[in-house]
Amino acid sequence: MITPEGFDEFVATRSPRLLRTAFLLTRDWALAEDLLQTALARAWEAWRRIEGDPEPYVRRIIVNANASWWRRRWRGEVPTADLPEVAAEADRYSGLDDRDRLWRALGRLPRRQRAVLVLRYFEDLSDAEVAEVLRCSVGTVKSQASRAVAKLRLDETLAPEGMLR
Amino acid sequence: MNLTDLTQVLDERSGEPAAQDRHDERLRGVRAKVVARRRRRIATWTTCAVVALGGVVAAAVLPGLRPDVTPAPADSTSPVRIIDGFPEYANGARLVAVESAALPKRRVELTIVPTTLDLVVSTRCDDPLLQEKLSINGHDFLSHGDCGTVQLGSGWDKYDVAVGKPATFVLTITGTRPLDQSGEIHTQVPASGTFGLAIGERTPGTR
Repeated sequence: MITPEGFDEFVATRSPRLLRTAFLLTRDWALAEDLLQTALARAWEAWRRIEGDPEPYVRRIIVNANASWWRRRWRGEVPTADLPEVAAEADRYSGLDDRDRLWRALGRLPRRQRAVLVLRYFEDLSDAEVAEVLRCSVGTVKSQASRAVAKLRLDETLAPEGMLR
Repeated sequence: MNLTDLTQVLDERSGEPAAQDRHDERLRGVRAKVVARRRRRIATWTTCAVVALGGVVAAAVLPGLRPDVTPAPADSTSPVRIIDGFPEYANGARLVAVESAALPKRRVELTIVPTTLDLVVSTRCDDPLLQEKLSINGHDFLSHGDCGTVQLGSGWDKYDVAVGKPATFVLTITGTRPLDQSGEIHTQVPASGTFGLAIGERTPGTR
């Protein structure tokens, strides 16, 4: 099987960053790797049709594939008889620093809102670029971002301006 | 919480495992996924083609396998009922009276009340060489000869036959004729065999 021209180089140089994006969306390294490889496999087949920089195209596949995986898998939890060990501390948040709490709060956001924050604050995309990736309007991006930030600010585990309550 | 924290958290959390940057393994994984996608696509198309082909074959073959709902033809080649050796419908007429007898009896008699003078009188014998004589209301009918004749048409009024009035038809076997002779050569009548007389009325629209 012949690798499309420039594909190997793209994977070598751009995939570490894309993997991080995938991780921020999935919060699981193995799942992120699978998501990235799936996106790259789709990009492989469309490689000759991609005009310009392929990274936005691959990023869009990652975001959309993550959303569709979630739709397919969110009820696919595997039941288990053994519950994980519960921390013995009386205060379940004791020992966690502010960033840990923020990371956990990010995980509680709806997927679409989390994707908006990742694209905006990690990928440093403009609202228009985020809208292009998510295939929605700029207004939707702004409202989703606003709601996501508001939820984080209202999260009871986080204090205003990063201070613990 | 401030947005600087958010950017730092996203950056820190996604930057942990340096070992994740193994692009050779990643490329192998991508190739495997591409191959799998192509196989799935080929399998899908093959399945579609097989289903379509199966549909075409089924459409062509199944009509032949379906049970034939056409009713089986009747055993009899003729729908006409036979009554005492005479067809119920023949020569455009429907039987109204039949009488048969077995030799050595030589005479049969029928009395009918015609509803029309368009009558058909038929005779039959097992042996066509039997000689017959027909009389109507005591008048000898014009023809004598071999058994199995059919007399059609009008002219019955000459024998006192009238609509609504009883008329008697008598068939008498007078003898038999040798095969190589003609004329009125009467010989001994066979001891067995049957003969009969039938009278029909022409049905409307058959003339």
